[in-house]
Formats: sequence, structure tokens, C-alpha cells
Amino acid sequence: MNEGARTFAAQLAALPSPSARLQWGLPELDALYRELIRAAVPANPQFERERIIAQAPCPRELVFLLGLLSEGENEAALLLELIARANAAQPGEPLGHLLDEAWYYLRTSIDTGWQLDDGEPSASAALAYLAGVLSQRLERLRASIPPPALAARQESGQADLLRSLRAEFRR
Amino acid sequence: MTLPTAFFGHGSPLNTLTKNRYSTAWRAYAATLPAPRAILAISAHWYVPGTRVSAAPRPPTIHDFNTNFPPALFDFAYPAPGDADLVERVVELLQPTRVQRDATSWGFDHGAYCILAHLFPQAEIPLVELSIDRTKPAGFHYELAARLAPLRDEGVFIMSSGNVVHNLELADRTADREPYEWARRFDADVRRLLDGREHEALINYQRLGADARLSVPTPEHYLPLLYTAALQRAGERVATIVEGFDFRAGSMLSLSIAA
Repeated sequence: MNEGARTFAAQLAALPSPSARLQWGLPELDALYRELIRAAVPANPQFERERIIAQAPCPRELVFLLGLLSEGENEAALLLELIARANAAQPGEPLGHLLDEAWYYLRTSIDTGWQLDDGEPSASAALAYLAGVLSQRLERLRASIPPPALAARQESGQADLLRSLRAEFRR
Repeated sequence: MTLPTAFFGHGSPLNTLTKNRYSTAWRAYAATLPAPRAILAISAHWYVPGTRVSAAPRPPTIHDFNTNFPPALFDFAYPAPGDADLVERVVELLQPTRVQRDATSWGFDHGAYCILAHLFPQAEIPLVELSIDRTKPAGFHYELAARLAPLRDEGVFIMSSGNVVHNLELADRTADREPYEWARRFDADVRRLLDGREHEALINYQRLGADARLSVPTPEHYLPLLYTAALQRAGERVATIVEGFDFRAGSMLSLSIAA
């Protein structure tokens, strides 16, 4: 188990119930998604990037779009969100089928041959696993050379291009 | 007149354009059907939180598959009109379940048009899709579907589209090989349970052991079958439209229920 997953698991374990763990863990995953987006998206000389990241309605989807979550991990995370939402809306609603599905997607994202699993699916383990892989990806992203900032202004010829296009459309 | 109702194993999206023994059987089945005034389709590929109906006057054709498929499939359109009256009737019948009229987020997906391109290639019959609420357990879907039963007497052909066995991770596209034994056994079990009208066992399919867990690793392709089973009336029989397997782990079993 990597450091990120270990730390996350310890924090989860201190909470009293699976639903409390989901309620705490999902916003923590959200924070990790936003960190990943920050690390993956080029810096912007203006504040727009921060505003977009802060206001992104579903940062998980953006992280998935950026190729930082696999399809199985994304499905598992989505299903954990649905479980938490259904728990909050109607406590006691049967949700085992959603956890089964999340667990299947997560384990086959690791090993497609991991088809049968005799243990009980665990939402907390899934949360900690996701936090661990996201932390690892964040470290790797931060270690790589950041992409150049958006700098169309500095590139020569861009103003000329715009002027010529304007001229083209005036004809 | 009561219209039959049917479940189709749709398989690969390519079946939309392909003439093979499955699509040939679907066409032959369509020739036996009385002309419906409208179609209600329940597809494995509209599997979202909440119960929704497609409510646009001209729902778009959704190309819900990856870009490895040929351009011709992306060019395909199934331009059937929507049906506002049917939408309202479905909303009414499904009460107290809240049904969202969805005119923007979805249209006709390949689960529906893969079959309908062969059943009704002219796309002239109004079509409405009903989503499968992924947050709900199997029993919910069976009970929900049973409320749709009056539509069969109102000229509506209710079709569901999925696959009784659907395990993409174990699909073997390398050769034309025999299906996995567990897939064959589960397919036969389902057929037997339908014949015996043992719907409780179909709802609780996860209790059918390892064969079920391998055949139905995730529920979206199996649940459409429950929509069809729930519409079976006393004295009605189940008839096979076509059966077989694709890629060892995909059942193509298609069934019709009628008096």
C-alpha cells in the first residue's frame, strides 16, 4: 500500500461508520481531483484557471477526461458518489448492488481476470485505494516539467493572423 | 389487441449494419408483428441515475461506442420521431416513481437502433426510450416495468435490449470459438426460469452462483430482461427469436412473449 492510501485509510478508520467514511472521504477525493487538474492543466497568467477549477461542477469527470483516471476507477468513484447521495436522501435504502458494481469496476481496472471475489466489497477500501492512486499520479505530475503557460500573446505572428482573418471576413 | 413484447440480445453495435443470422431473425420476427402505433424501448445503454423518458420531438441518434468502429456506423441515423403522448402516458403509468422528461441529454442509443434498424428500417414509427435507473436494485425494475403493461393494449410495442450474458472483460474476439461453459449454463438457466415463469429467481439472479456472477458482472445488460419478464401475462408463452453467442461471453438470446 502506498503512503497516500495508508494515510487516507488511517483517517477513514477513525470514523464511526461506512456512511460517515463516505461523507468524509468523497470531498477529500474531490480535493485530490482539483489538485490533479491544477497539476495537469497549464498555468494561466490570469486567474481563470483557478476560477474554472474551483467552479468545475464535477472535477472527477474532468480528471477522467484528462486521462488521469481509468474507466473502471471513474465508474467506481461515480458509484461511491451515488451511494453517498442515496444514503443522504433516503437512509436505509438498499444499495449493496451499487457497491458490488463499484467493486467490480475497481478490481477489474487493476486486473481484468479478477472476476470472482469471495470477500465483501468495501466502500472504505475503494475510497482509500482511489486516494492512493490519485496521490501517486499527482506526485508524478508534479515531478514532471510543467507544460508552458498559455502565451499566445508572446508568439509572433498571432496578431498578424487575426488581422488578416479580419480583413478576409471584411471582403 | 395485445401486442407481443420482446427482449433482444443486441451484441455488437456493428449488428446495426450487418446482415447475419441474428439480424435476419430479427427481421423475420418483425414480419410476424402487428404494426404498432409506437415503440417504447428500454436499452442497457441508457443506464443513469433516475428514471427518464426521451422527450424530444426528434431525438438524435447517439453513437455511444468507441472510435474503433467504422465511419459508416457513425454515419448511421435512426430518425424516428418522438411521441409526446406516449411520454405523458409513461409518466402517468409509472407514478409514483418520478419520471424526468429528457429532451436534451439523450436520444436513441445503439441498444435500441441496433435492433430497430432491422425490425422497422423505415424508422417511421414513433419511438420513446425509457432509461434504467442505475441506483435501483433489480426488484425495483421488475415492479416498475409491470406498470407499463396497459401499453401493450394501446398499440405500443415494448422492447428491451441488453444481453443475458455480457462480460466484456472475458470476451474473446480472436477466433470463432465455443462459448464459455459458464455462459452457456447461465443462458440455459435463464431460459428455463422464463419458461417456468420463475421471475423471483430471475430478479435474484445473483443467488444463482458463480455462473451468474461471471455472466452478469454488472447489471445494465441483464436488467432489460426483467422489463420484458414483468410484462408476461397469465397464459402467455415465451418464444425464442434467435439464440447464440458472440465472442464466447455475449449471449445473443432474443425472446418474444405473446399469447
